[in-house]
Parts: sequence; C-alpha cells; structure tokens
Amino acid sequence: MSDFVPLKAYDDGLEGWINSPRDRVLWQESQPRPIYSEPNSVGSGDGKRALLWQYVRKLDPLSFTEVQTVGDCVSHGSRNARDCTRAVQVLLESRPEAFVKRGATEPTYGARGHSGEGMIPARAATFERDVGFCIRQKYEPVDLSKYNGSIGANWGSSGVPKDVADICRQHKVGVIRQITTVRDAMDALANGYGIHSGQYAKWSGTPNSQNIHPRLPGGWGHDMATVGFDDTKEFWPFTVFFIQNSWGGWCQPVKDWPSSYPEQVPGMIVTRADDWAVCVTDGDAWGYGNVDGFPPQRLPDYGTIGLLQK
Amino acid sequence: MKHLPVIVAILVAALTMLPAPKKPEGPVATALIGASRSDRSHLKGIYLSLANKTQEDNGTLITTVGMWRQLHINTLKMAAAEMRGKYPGLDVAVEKVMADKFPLDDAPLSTSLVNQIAAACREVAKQSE
Repeated sequence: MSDFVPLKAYDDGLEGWINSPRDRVLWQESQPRPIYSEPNSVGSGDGKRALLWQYVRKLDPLSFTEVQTVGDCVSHGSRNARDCTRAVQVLLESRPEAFVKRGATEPTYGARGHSGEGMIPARAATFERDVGFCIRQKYEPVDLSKYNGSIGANWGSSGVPKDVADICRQHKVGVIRQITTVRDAMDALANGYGIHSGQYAKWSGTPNSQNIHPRLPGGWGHDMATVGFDDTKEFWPFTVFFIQNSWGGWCQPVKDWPSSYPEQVPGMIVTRADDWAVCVTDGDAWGYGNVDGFPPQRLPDYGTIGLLQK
Repeated sequence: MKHLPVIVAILVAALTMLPAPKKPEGPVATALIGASRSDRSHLKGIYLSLANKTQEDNGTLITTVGMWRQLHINTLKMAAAEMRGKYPGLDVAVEKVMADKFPLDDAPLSTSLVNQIAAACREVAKQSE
C-alpha cells in the first residue's frame, strides 16, 4: 500500500511537471507545424461547449479514477487527453475502430529520461508521437492491466524496455500541437482534441460562491488533462474549463451542476477561463489528435453458447 | 332454422379450405420442434423484451456489442435457466439467427447497429412462436 498522498506531495513541492523550455524548443524543431493554429477553424469554439469526458466515460465507465502513486502526473494527463481524443474518434467521428481499453500511463512515464520523479511534457509528446502508447492490458513482457506507478518509475534512466517500446509502436499519436492561447484551446476541444498541460498553479478543493474551484496563491508543479469547456454562458455567466486531475476524489464537486450535463467526475476542477489561462501561459499545453486506433475486437459468440444448451 | 345444418356445413367446409397459418421457419424454429407452448411463449417474451429494451436504450447504458452480449448472457442466466439443455442445438440456432443480422465485432452501438440487434432478437422471437 502506497503512502503517497498526491495533494500533500504536491503541496510539499513535488515537481511532477518539470518545466523545460529547452525541450519544448527541441520538440518544436522536430515537428512541422508545432503550434496549434488552424486558420480554417479559428473561433469554432466561440460560444460553444465541448464536454469530452462524457465520451470516455461512455466507453470506459471508470475512467479518470486512477490515483497516481508516484510523480507521474504528466503521463496521467497525456493519457487522459489521448483517451478523450480516442473516444471522440470512435463515438463522434464513427471511425471503424474500438476504444478497447483505457490507455496506460507507464510507458510514457518510463520515457522521462531520468530516475527521479517528474517529467517534461515535451518528452511525453515525443515518445507518444515517435514510439507510441499501450492500453490497460496484459502484454507478454509486462502486465499493464492495472495501474502500477512503480513500473514506469523503475524504468527511469534506462528507459522503456525495447520489447515494450515495440508494442507501443503499433499505436502512435498522429497529431500533437502546442496550445498557446485560451481561444485556441477552446477551438481544439471543440474539434475533439484532448488537452493536457503542465503548470505551476493550484486550485482550491472547495468550490466558491461562483460555483467554481478558484485558483489559490502558490502552486503545484503539476500536469492535468483539460477535458472540456463551456463558453455558452448559459449556466455559468462566464467561460469555464473542466480539468481532470489524477488524484481521485480530492476535491468537493461544485454544488450546482447542469442537469443536462454528463455526470461530474470525482476530482474534476471547474475553473474560470482566466484562471485556466495559466495552463497555456506556462508554455506546456498540448493538444492531441488523430490517435492510431484499435480494430474492433472479435467476440467469441453472441452470448447463448452454454446457456440454452448443456 | 331448417337451413342451419347446411350453413354450418358450408362454414366448416370454407374454414377447412383456408390456408393454415404459415409456421415460422429457421434454425430456432427447427430447434424448437416439439417444444411446449409455454416454453415457446417464454422464449419469445425474453427476446421481444431484449429487442425493445435495446432500442429504448439506444446505446446509452449498453454502449458496445460486448456489453450487449453480457446483457444477453445475464438475461438468459436469470430468465431461461429452466430451459437449459431441453432443446438440443437451440443455442447454436440463436447464434445463427444473430450472425445473419449483425457482426461479432465489439463495436460501439450506433443507432443502426442497435436496430440490427433488435431485428435479430425479433427474428428469434418470431421463430419461437
């Protein structure tokens, strides 16, 4: 049983998100069109809302419930963003693919390049673009069916073993772009891109009178996924973003919740756009698109074999 | 009143000349030859309910073919336990009807796939009459 308490660890100064402008530049130089800038869809999120977490929950009802046990928040954030994009591809874009299982965090964290805690998001992006990702299942060289933070943590400076990397190569993230403005983030989410970001910022676990979780002074060096936004101003009179944390039910849910919305996930932060802006101004917000999907799995039968006949 | 026997005779003759209602055909119907009326009615009810509930849900709670398969399994475990082993080949027969209507891929349930599954269940119900 891990005695890791995420809120305390981050309050005490754990750097799960490692800020590295140098790695961001290296990543940008390795990538044509590194910045999210889509002239054809500028403003497509204006006045809209995108509640992407509902699609993941539909395909994986217990998604977003894994609680990190080491400083691997970047890999949780990127996995959650990736799974949002995959779910949108399956349910909204009707691609001939299946969600199959939740994404795994361990290979991404194992690619951080050092044996200490924390990760640079640009390295996660590079690994998932160039090598790929796994899902929560048992593979021959490693069992990733249940989250085990120590697996990725132990790969440390030696990196992801070759046989695991070879499995990851079957599924890559096709499009990764850095998000640099709040408006681009809304456009990206409205177009089905999951986002994750590392930043130095902290939020209150108790909603305020505005029915949001307010920013607090100080910060956590932390990475989280942004899984939706609402710019309609129909319920909140201002733009809000929905951040999915990887700490389980660490905060109180907001008290008033639109009845037409998908269920609030435990641990979700509801924040004003001007508080969320730190996620882009700190320079490490990443939008994920065009994730290599999985072919639908073949079922053994329709469910009657052995039940109507001995 | 004296014509009554004649009228009755004509009616009887006419009724016997009417075509008999067509018996359903297909693998389930074949597997159920000799089945009791109550077993037929029971199976029909199960599959009609499955068809209706699948369409009412329309992919909301049951989101994939894999989840629907599990619903099917649980339904049969709870509602058809007493029929287990009574009709040789019935399980394979039901599978055959389903296979004619929708693929075994564990795909998300779109409305068209929901309708295909419901049609498969209704065909099993029809063949159970």
